[in-house]
Amino acid sequence: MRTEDRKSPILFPKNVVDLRDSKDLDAYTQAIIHQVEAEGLIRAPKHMKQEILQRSQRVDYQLAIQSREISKKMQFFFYSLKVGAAVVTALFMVFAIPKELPTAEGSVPEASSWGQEESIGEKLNKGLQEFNQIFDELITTNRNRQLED
Amino acid sequence: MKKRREADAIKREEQLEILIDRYQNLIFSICYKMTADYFISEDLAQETFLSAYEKYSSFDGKNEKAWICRIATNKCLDYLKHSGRKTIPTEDTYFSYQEDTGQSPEEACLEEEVRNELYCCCKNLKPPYDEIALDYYYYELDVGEIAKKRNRNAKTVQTQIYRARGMLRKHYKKKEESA
Repeated sequence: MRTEDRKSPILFPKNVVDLRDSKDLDAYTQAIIHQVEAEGLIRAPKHMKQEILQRSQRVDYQLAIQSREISKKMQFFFYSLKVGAAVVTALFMVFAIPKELPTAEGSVPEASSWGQEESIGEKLNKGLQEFNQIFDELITTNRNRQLED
Repeated sequence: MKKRREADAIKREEQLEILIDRYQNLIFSICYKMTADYFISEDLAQETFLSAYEKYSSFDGKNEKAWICRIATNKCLDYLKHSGRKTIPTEDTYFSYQEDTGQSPEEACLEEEVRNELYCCCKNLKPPYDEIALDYYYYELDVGEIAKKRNRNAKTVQTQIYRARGMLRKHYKKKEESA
C-alpha cells in the first residue's frame, strides 16, 4: 500500500519524531486513532497473538513484572533500612574518631593513644562488615523467597 | 502466598489475551500507518502488547484504548527515529481528519491492498522460500500444517520461515527507500 495513493490526506506533522516527548503526543495519538478507524482496520497476522503469548512467558519479561510487583511497603522498608544503617554508621564514626588529632609539629602521640585509635579503627571496620553482612543476608533471603514463589 | 502469585500470573495472562483480542487490529493498523512496512508493523505491535503486559499493574484503568495506542505510537516514533526517518512520506496536514466518504467498504479494500502487496513480495522470493512465505504469511498456516503439507521437518520449516521473513523485510525496506 502506498499511503500517498490514498484519497484522504494524512495527518502527520513534518517532523513526526519530534512528538516523542511532547505534550502534543496525546492529541496526535487521538488523531491517528480516528483516522485509522475511519479508513478501516487492517487485520493483524493470524500468528501474532500466539507469538506474543509465547514471548510473554520468557524469563526476562516475567522477572520485570515481578520486580514491579514488589509492594511499595517492602520498597519503603528496604529504603528505611538503608537510611537507618547509614545514620548509625555515621554516628558510630562521629563518636569513634578521637577528639584530639596529632599536632603538626610532629609530636608523636603516646603509644597508648595510637593503640587505642587502632582498636577503635578495627572496631569500626568490624562494625561496618557486620552491617554489610546483615544487609546482604536480608536482600538474598528476600530474593530467594521471590524466586521460589 | 504461592497460590496467590499463581492466581495473579493467570490473571495477567488472561488480561494480555483480552488486550490482544480487543486491540490487535487497531494496533497493527496504527503501526502500519506509521511505518508502511508489514513486518516492522508486526514487530512493533508485538512490542506494544508486551510493553502493555509489563506495565499493566501501573495502569490507572481510565482509558485503556488511548493508553495502549499511545504505547504503540511511542514505539513507532522510536523506530522512526532510530531508522533515521523523520517524516512519513505523505502530505503535510496537521491534526485534521476527514470523515469517511461513504465509499465502497474501505476496510476490505485496504486489507486487499495490503495482502496483494504481501502476496507479490512472497512470490518474488527465490524457492523454496516463496512457497514457505506464502503458506505462513499469506495463507496463515501453522508450522505444523506447513511441515505436513510439504513433508518436511518442522524445524526445517521454522528455519525457512525465519529466513523468508528476513528476505521479506529487506524487500519491504528497499521498496520504501525507492518510493
